[in-house]
Amino acid sequence: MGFMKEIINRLKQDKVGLVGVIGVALVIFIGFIGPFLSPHDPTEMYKSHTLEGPSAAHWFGTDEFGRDIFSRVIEGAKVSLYVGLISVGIGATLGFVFGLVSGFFQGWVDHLIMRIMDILFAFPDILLALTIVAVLGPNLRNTMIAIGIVFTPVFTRTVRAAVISVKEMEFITSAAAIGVKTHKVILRHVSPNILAPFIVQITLALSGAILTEAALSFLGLGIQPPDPSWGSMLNASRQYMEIAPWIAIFPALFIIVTIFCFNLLGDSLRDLLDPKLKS
Amino acid sequence: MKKWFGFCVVMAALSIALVACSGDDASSGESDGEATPSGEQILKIGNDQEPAGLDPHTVPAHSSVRIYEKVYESLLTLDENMELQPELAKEWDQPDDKTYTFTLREGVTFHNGNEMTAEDVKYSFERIMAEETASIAKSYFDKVESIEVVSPTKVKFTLSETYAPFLSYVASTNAAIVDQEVVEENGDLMQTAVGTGPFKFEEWEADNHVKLTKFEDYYQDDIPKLDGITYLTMKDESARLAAIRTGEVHMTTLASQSIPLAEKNEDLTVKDYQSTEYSYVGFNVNKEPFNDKKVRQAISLAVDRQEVSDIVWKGDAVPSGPIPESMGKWSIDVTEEEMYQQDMDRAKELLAEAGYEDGFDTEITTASTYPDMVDTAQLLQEQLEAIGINAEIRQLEWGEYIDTWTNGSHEMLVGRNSSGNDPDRSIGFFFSTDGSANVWGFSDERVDQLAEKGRTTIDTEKRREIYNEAQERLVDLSPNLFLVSPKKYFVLQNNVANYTPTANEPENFDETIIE
Repeated sequence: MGFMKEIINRLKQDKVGLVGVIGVALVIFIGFIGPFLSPHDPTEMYKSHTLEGPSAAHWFGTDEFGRDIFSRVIEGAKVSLYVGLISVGIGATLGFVFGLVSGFFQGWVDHLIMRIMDILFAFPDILLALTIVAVLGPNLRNTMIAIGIVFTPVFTRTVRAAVISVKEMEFITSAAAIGVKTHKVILRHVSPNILAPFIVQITLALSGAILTEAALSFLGLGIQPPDPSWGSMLNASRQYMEIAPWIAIFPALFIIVTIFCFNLLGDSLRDLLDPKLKS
Repeated sequence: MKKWFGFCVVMAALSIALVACSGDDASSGESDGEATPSGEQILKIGNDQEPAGLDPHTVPAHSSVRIYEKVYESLLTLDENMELQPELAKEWDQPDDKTYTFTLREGVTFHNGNEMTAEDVKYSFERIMAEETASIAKSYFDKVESIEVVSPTKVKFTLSETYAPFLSYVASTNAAIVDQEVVEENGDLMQTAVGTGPFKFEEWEADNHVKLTKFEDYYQDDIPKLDGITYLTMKDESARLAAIRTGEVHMTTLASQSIPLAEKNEDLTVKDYQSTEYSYVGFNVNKEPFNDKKVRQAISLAVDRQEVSDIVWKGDAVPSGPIPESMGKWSIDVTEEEMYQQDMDRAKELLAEAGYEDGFDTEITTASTYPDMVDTAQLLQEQLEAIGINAEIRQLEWGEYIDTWTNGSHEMLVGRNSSGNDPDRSIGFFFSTDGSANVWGFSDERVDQLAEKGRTTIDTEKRREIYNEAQERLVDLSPNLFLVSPKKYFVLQNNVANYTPTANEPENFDETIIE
């Protein structure tokens, strides 16, 4: 696809964006390959080695049960990625459909959809996610559904705005004028031309989703123990923050770096795809 | 890209702060826990929860009890050996099995100046027993038939049947003597407190503090020594730790994980006592496979209680049955019990006999609010894997957890109980078929008989034998898996003197001074 090629070419020239790309690629690599590299089972308790500092046997130290923090952080990367991709997938798909319908047909459908989105928007992200998880019950699947729903309004708005601006362009009106069927106009002509803002939104939402999962797990509503996630590891570390700071530092570091890289990537993608900046 | 630079700076600063906190923090500031400039002795305490109201008859929350127990008094009290001692009643006797008379101390006044008389005693108990009060102590006095004022200093209670725990319950903080006038003026006692105790209620600023001041006309001379107590609400463990290190408060409770840090600090003293709490796993005994006692016994045999103590409580917890060690003479030594001898082979055998050679899948419910419960659940999950039981952990938020506990929609549930101050509460209340807190669906004829006998036997030695048998039977039937009874900790500034926490009265400040 020429579109993707152009993005990649331009990314190569953007050094900051490249850092983001490499970082994201690294996190994805760790997420997929990591479990084969990790030296220990992330849930195995080495009970005679509790709260030990970083050493050759346990690179990032051990937690209160003697579990290997390094293996848990790696396992946590998988969880974060998994949650990020699936929940953003849910949010983006719903948002794409709603935004397309809303923007293209306008009228009462638009009003209905957008008012519902406004209601969802009115709640702070975390509060909404908390409520949904509380209703559905705390586990990984429900966390992903909750985050997906929380992100739907952002995608809907982004897509709708893009559709509205594209819709008035001549190539669309002429397509309609020569009698191209509505669904073909939407799929063949509108959709490909709104991808740029949509892709940017996806990268940004990924970091948001990872962060929200960390927050939910921190509150005990995400993934259930003993399976690790960065957020739940951080929560469990609170009691030992001073005696065993490594329990807190490593998952925190991974959250920070991951979010940072995703945001860098999203930021440069936005710059790259902005038509006004096209040379 | 400017904002990324800003972000990096903030993150870097944060990491440095984190690392800085982690070192040996010996320079934790000078303790300024001295008396205030005016020479007043005000003891400042870090309270781990906001009080949930101050009515001694209706509020069970510990954050409230620790405050209103200084303001109110009951007719009797218990000493550290769980023996009855006089408080507002200077003596009591029992003409027959169902009648008790109390002779009140003379010249005792409430904080508002009203004299405390037999009428107040009658009023207080009637308030507890009235349906509309919704008192937590109501069931304690269900057997009371009538209360009669014999003279201004004499009250007679007549019970409908012999009821051995009666005096222990009279000694409960929840059987506090209140002033009718104050209740009528305020409607209830949630926001105010007027009692006869050594401290009087001064003010309560929501989410901030509660202030008590010395009651000058207290009937015991030279008590209290302090001029006042201020309870500062500090919900976060790290906030309390910081406050005690910097001298912002004189004392606070801390979890066992923080104790090594407090011990390292030369300005601080750590005091502990064996609590009347114990951790447990409740089984829904109506659900398969937990309806089979062999399955429950297998789990009891598979669990390593010492490991629970070592990992969850850093070694500061002792194995416990339904009546923990701190209950003194009432408690049996559970370490001798067959069900407490970890034995994997026997556990597997029992499972096989019950028809679960290959184990089974189940769920452990726990409260996300309490790290010790989450940790206990994880440890149990790991220990049970060894006999083929695969448990998934389900953490619930506190309100939802209480709901689950109440309606029994769980399979295994990790929790913590307080055994109260009478074995009737530890046994009858939790495990008799109609016990108010028997949410497990557990019913055993012999336990019911014993609970009933314990309630109606006055002789202490005979009562002890009854409850010994009940404990042994409960440990064997394992409707709950009784785990360990933890120690509780107070951390205080070195200048706080004459204070010793005990299980029956962890916070007695009658003689306490700030040097």
